[in-house]
Amino acid sequence: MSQATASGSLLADATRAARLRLWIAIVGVLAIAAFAASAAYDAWRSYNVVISANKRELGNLAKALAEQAERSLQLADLLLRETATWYETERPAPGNAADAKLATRATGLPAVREVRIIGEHGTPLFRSRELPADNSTLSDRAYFIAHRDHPNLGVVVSDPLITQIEHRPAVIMARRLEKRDGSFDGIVQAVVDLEDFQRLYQALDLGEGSAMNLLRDDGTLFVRQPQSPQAVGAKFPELVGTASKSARLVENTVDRRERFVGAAHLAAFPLVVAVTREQSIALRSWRDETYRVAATTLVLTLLGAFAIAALVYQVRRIEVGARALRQSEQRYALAMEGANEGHFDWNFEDGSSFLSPKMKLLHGRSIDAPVTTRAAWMGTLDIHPDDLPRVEAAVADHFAGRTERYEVEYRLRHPDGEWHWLQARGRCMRDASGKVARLVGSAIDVTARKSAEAEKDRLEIQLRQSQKMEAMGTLAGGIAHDFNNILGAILGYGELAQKAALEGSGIRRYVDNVMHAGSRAKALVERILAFSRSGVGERGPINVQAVVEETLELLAASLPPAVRLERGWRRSDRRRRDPAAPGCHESLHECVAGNGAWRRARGGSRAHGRGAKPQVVARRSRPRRLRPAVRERHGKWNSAASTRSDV
Amino acid sequence: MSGIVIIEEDKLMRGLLTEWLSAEGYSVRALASSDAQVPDKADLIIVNVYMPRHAGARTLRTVKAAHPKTPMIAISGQFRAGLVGSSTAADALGVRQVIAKPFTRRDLVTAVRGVIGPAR
Repeated sequence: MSQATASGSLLADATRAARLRLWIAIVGVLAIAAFAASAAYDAWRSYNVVISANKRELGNLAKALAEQAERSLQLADLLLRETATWYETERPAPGNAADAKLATRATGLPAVREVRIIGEHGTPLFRSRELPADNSTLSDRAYFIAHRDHPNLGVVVSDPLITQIEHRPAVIMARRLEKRDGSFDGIVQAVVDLEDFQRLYQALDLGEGSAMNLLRDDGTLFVRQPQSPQAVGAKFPELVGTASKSARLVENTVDRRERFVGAAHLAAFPLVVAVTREQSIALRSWRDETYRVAATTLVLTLLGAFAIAALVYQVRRIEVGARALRQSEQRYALAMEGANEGHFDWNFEDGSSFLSPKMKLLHGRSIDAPVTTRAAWMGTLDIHPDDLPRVEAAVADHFAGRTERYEVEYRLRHPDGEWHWLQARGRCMRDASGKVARLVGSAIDVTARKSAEAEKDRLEIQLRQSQKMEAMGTLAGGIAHDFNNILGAILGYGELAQKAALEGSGIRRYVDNVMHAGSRAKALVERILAFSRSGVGERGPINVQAVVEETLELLAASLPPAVRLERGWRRSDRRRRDPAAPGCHESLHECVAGNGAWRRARGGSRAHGRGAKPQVVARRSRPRRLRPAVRERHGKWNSAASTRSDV
Repeated sequence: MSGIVIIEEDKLMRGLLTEWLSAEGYSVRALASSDAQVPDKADLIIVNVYMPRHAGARTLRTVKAAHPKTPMIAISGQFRAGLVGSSTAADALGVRQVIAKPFTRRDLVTAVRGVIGPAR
């Protein structure tokens, strides 16, 4: 997994998480808004229900009271009608008899305090009660003027008044009297006691803030419960303005409070019954309920908001945790990838298994290679026969508790035939009974390390060999130096002795032999010096043929019996004069030929025993075919110049 | 004439070289070690070198430092055979001539004459 891919995955996860949090917040806010809207809608519906209930209640009550008032006043009106008919028919003469008759007529109606007939000029003519003489004209009364000036008005109701004798509230109902020609002949009026209405209204308890009003259709207040004596006679047109409609909300001029008003007109009289209820009282229960619902909604909204915030916070924490986990996993995967390490997990309890892709690749299998059980997996592997018992023993020892961890190195052949060194480490997990439940571990390819170790061992051997050779060279160099000093003296003094001895004498011949032997010793020391590489010399042309022949002579004495030495020259070889240090060629040829001869000697007997052709095991002493140690010992070699030593 | 100074550890060789060069008319002074006092006005210093790649090279540098204007000839049993006269090996060692032991009288006399000329 590349780092760029991991970073992109983390960025996509962070974007998804941020989007999830945003959606949670949006849905939460919408849910809270919907809840609040539902509560508001319920409050609005409840308000309408309360308003409707109040209006209906007030309207129905007003109609009932109007009906009752109409029935009550119909008797008085009937008395007025009959009295008018009686008067217009009989035209009684003034006197007590007529008054008595009026009194008789009014007897059955306790609400009617008095019945009076007023003449066309406003002069009282008859009355049903004996009262102090009062001949004052009533022509200035509004109801008199109304009947006089407007026929067919029916019943006209006066302003409220207080009766002189009983001091009780009352109104005057009047009807027009007409002559036979239809002209105005006066009025018949009845003083109707309003106390009965007051008592009736008192008997009805409409609760706090409610009031019942009896008004004239111009708004003049006759009766009010609760009582308000100062308001009687005042006009409240707003209370009757909607008498034909349903209850409504109006501002009452009595106390400037908003009230719901339910009003009902009396059919036969210019009166209106208005039942009112203060808006604050009417809506009190709704308001209390609304406050409660609002408080509940607020609390629930806050709880919802808190829950959403907590949810978003929790999602954030989970996302942070998940991101940290993913980062950790990616770091782990990258680390494992960088460490070239594969992992395995064998679960012996449930039979499940896990092998990382790297583990499969390390074992030469494809990433999607199926894995079932450890035994099946091991059966597919080509572990080196020498290592397989060690692998199984390591597992068995660890399972038996003899080792703290499972650790083994083994060779494994991949399908391409190449052997790999693997190092496996692991540890088992046991259940409560001590039985092995799982084996978890890792493996790495240690082929490079193994090769490096082998190379190191080889180099160490080579180094030791080189050190040995160097020590031998140093020793040989020292011997050569001392020997050359001796030879120098021998040859030098021998030369003096040669000159001193007579030519042809025996002494001269002896000295010549000494000089000859010294020269041979000198050649031997030269070779020792060349072998030791401790001497100082210069490169220069040499005669290769002479060097080779001399080398072969030396070599022939040291070859095994099974090796036969042949030599052959090409024309070019004879002419070649390679630039080399004196003695270097000889030493090199000895090395090449000696190595080849001994190699041949190790297999030589078998080859000859089977009648095989002699093999050329060393041909041309090209530097690239020489061992590094030999190449190093003989210094830089001109590759164009080479010799051939066929053995 | 100041003559030739020979620094040679081997007694026989020291005597031989002295005889050869004296016979040619040179004034010769032989020393057993480079630590001995070398005359300041020597015409030539012949130094035997043991292990010319290592300690011997240091010996030559020491003598050369003490007598920078005096020509030197290095002789050694660890020079390869045939290494006689001026050469790259001589340049590397900082001497005028090198002679590999064992050498003949002619080799030595030729080298000495090549450096300081015949005896006067």
